[in-house]
Amino acid sequence: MNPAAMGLLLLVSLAGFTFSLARRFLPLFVMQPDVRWDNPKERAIGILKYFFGQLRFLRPFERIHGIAHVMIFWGAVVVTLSTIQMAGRGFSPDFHLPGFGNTGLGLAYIFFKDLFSLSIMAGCTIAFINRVVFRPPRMILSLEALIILNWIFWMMGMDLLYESTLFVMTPDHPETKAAFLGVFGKNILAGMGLTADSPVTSQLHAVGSWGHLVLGLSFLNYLPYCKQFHEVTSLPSLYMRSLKKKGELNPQNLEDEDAIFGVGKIEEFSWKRGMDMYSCAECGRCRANCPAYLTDKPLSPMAVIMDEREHLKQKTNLMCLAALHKLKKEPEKIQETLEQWSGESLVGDVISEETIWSCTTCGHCVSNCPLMIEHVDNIIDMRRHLVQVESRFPKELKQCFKGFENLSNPWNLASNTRGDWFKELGVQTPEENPDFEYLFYVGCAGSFDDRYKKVTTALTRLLQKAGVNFVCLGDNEMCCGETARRLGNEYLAQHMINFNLEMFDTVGVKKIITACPHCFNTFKNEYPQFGKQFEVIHHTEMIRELTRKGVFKGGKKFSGKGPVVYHDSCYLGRYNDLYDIPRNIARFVPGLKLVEAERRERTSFCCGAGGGRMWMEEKIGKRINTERFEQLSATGAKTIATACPYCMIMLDDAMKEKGVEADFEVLDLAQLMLASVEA
Amino acid sequence: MKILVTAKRVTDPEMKIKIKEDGSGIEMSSLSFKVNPFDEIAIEEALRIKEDKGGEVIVVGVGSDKAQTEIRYGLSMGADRGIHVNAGSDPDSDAVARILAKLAEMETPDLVILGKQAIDVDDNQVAQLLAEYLGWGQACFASKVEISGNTARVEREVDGGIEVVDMDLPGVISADLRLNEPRYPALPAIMKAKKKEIKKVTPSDLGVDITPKVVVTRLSEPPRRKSGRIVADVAELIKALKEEARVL
Repeated sequence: MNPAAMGLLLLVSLAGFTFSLARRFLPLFVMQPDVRWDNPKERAIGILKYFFGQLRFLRPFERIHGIAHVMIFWGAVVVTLSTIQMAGRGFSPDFHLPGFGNTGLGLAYIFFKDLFSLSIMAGCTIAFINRVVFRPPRMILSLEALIILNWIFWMMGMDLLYESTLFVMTPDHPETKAAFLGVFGKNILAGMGLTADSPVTSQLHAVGSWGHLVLGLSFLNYLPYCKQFHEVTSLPSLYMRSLKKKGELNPQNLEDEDAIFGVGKIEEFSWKRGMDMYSCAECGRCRANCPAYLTDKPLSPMAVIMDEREHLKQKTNLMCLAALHKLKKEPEKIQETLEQWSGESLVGDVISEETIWSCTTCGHCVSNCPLMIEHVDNIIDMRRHLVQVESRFPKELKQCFKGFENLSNPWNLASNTRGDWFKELGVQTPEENPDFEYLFYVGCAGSFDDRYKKVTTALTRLLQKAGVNFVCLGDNEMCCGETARRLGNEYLAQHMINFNLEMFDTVGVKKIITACPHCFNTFKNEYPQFGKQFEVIHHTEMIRELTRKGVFKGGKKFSGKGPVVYHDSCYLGRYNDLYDIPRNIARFVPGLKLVEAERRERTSFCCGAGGGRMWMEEKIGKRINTERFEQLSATGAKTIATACPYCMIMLDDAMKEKGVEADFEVLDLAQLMLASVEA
Repeated sequence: MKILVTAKRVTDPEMKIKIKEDGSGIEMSSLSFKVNPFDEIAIEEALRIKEDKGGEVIVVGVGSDKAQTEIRYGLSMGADRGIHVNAGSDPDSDAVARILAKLAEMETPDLVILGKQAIDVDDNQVAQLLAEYLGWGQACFASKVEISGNTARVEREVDGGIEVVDMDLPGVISADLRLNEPRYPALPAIMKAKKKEIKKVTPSDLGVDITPKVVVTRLSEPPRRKSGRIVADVAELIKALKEEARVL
């Protein structure tokens, strides 16, 4: 080995890598502040689970590929030490890291290094075959990915050549005791007639060691320019992951003079979004169950992140310049520099409006991303810009927003008829019963939609039967703000939220029962952002609790259309982990046969109505509710049990559109329960 | 171009209206309010003219203290300033027209644009009365407005077609439904509107007597429709139409 050549190689490649890193990270300085280092303990635990533990690779949808990743990941962690050691041997042939060498630890390491090189090569082979032969639909067949897999594979191949030839030259090398792979290679080479003093051996040895290092160091320099950059960013990215509750959107401060009302330019994103763009490894796990992507909408969560990254790269020069101004404390020049941008605009050009409006916020992408990228918040950031800054949105939403504003419901029905549904039911209002325990917050659908009014009524009857002390607000109830918030109209949402908080305070609300997972999620996970915490109970939880207490006895046999399949609502399941409770209600009904859909629970498929999609036309691709209805009816079920007004309306519509309402039924769990306990 | 527009506070048209038991008016509690939709169209048109030709848009609201909310809405759409004429409650059409005439004399706008009628009482009088009091031309029920020089070419929706008129400025235009699609105010504009000036005056400041000339004496609900009936055959239908409905 030539120390001068090694020194030069290291100097050039590390200098190059540093330069590339600076180019990647400087732009983050002109993006928006975001504190991501609070709560270090929880963050560290996350690193153990999601980085070292690779938990998100061992989940449904292509498990084999996940294992291949774990093999390569762990291999890379272990082998890196050996690479450092090999670089050191460029200067001194016997270099080893402190404690390593001909020691127990050193030899144990060598054993594991060989084991994990094998693991990397096997992992690369599996991944390669998977990509080229099996081509899972979530992935793209990119040349870049194949180059990277080969690069890594041959890096290990070179290491093996280095080690094998080393052992041919020095058969009594202490590492032969542990390096089983190297010994295996040595035996093959010896079998081919290579000896310790043949010149070919030393030439191959040089090829092995330089090959490994050149491939490794050039790979390092390639990283910042390809999807493999996640090797660098994943650790900090996962450490600085979002710790907010799954069901809450980022709150927005709308009071500030210079508040950013939404993201219309790349630098208006938080710096963490920028980091996430670099991290995306294009694995496509986000879209494996994306209702928009799978029904041919223009949205693919992966493409959103990749397109944003491409845009960020195009804007890198300007953003680096602006960042230098920031570091030099020349704030007036920052904006000036950024305004020189004359290329595509983020919202509209880079990410089309159709893409932004296609999201149902079902949250599968976020819950399945191994790097914990926050696709939904990312999209909502841009919706906020479209709605609040540019007032640009699908025209049907204007009616919806106006409905929220003036009548506090998206149906645009008279707010002073909101309580009409319970006139005959003997439900009390807080004025009539000031000592109530629960507020049954009905929600817009439960108050205005004829189908869901039946559910509201069923639940009321159940609560009355069980002697629960509850009230309803009637005409004084207002929309919870969930849908407006997910449509990007934060201003309107906060107006409704503040109104409700004031009213709940006046009335003295402590516990809230809702029959809508959207209201439920917002009250439970988002209202605390505004300084108020309630005990929020979804109606399935309430029914389950009453059942557990033995309030409902001697259930009548199920007399509906069987079998029954339960469709998980995203906001009940994925966002709030309520999977078993709704199913247990169905199981309580005697004679009810419960079947399961392939896409269920954590990987359930959205009905298509979330994120305000309920109020938009669906013109592109297959209708999401039709797709979901087909998935559910494929189980052989004749009754679809829901626990969410949006799901019920969407699936009911899909059923009617197919003209099969004679054979199927869409019912809420409360209705199934009532039919079973009603004498 | 200086344009005066109106923003009347009206009950939301979607609300269920209940008449007071004594029939003297409608039950106002639990009603929600908004800017009269035709006024919203008028404001939008004024803003579009301003965006094209430059100038100023002034929103006028006549009504109770609360009418300021609707003026503020006009400001958040993009109008420059507001005038709130605090009349305690809603004066009748004639009083409103005389108030607006006074304001027009003070502000000397090139154009006054109003909604063709307010959707609460549907009087459809103010624009016409205002033009009369000012001695200006009027072009009511506009579905298209084009300003060139000192003339407004207005397409009016009349029964069975469109009438195109040229009107000298200053003049009065009332907006019909199809004139435009009003914008949804963006948040920066809403924030900016919070700081815009709303000048407060009273009818007596303007020297206008608002004693109503028209008084509502009684409101009553239309008679409930009787439910229909299914007849057995055509013969019975014809018989019923002849003998009961007496339409044949």
